[in-house]
Amino acid sequence: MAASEEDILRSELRWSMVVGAAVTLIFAAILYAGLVLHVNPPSNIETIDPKTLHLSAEFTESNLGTKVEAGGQVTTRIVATQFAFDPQCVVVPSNEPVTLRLTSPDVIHGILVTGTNVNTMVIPGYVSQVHTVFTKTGDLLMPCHEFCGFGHSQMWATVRVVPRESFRPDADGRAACEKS
Amino acid sequence: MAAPARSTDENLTETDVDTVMEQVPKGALALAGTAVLLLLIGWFFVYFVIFIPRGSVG
Repeated sequence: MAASEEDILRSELRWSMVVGAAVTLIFAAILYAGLVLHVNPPSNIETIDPKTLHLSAEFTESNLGTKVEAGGQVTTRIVATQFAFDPQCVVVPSNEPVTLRLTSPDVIHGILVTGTNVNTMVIPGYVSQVHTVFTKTGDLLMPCHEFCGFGHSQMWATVRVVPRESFRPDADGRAACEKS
Repeated sequence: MAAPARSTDENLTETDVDTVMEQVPKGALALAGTAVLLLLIGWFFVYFVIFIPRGSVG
C-alpha cells in the first residue's frame, strides 16, 4: 500500500516540528549566553585621529599597558602597529573585570586572546574596546589575526594573567610584565 | 551492436512504484534525523565545552 497524501503531510509536519524545536533550542542557548552569561560581540563606536595617536592623551607611550583607574577598574591600552603590539606584554589580574582598549595608527589589525572569547578588529581611526574576565592564570598568546603586511606572522603579544594577590600595581596604578 | 539498456524504468509496475513510495519517507527521515542529531550534538559540544568555559566578553 502506498503512503497516502495524508501520511506524507503528517510526516512532514512532524519533521517540521523536530527542526523547529532544534532551531528554538539553539536560539535559546544563544540568548542565554548573551543575556545571562554576558557573552556578546564587543561593540564600541569611538573615533580617534590615527595620525596623532602618540600625542593623544590616552595612547601616548607612557600611558600604554595596564592601569588601575581611580574607581578600581583595570584598563589595558595597547597600540597595534605594523608589525608589533606596544607593549609586547601586558599583565592583568585573574577573576576581575578587565577592559582592553586598542587602536591602530596604520592599517587594519585584529586580535584574539587564546583560550578566551576575546576577539576584535583594530581599525585605524577607531578605538576597539573589549570587556572580559580572565579566569585562568598564565601567559596567553595574543596574535594579530588580520593580515596586515609582510610581517604579520611575527606580530603577537602576551597577556600575562596573574592571581589577584600577585597583581601589584605601582603608586600610579600601573602594572607591567617583569623583564625576564 | 546495440548498447545495453541502462534503465529498466519501462519494466516498473505501478505496484513497484507504490512499494518504493511507501518506504522512502522512513529512510529519508532516518537519514535526516541522524544528520540533524549529529549537527546538534556538534553544536552543543562546541557551545558547552569550548564557548561557555572561555568566559564573558562584551
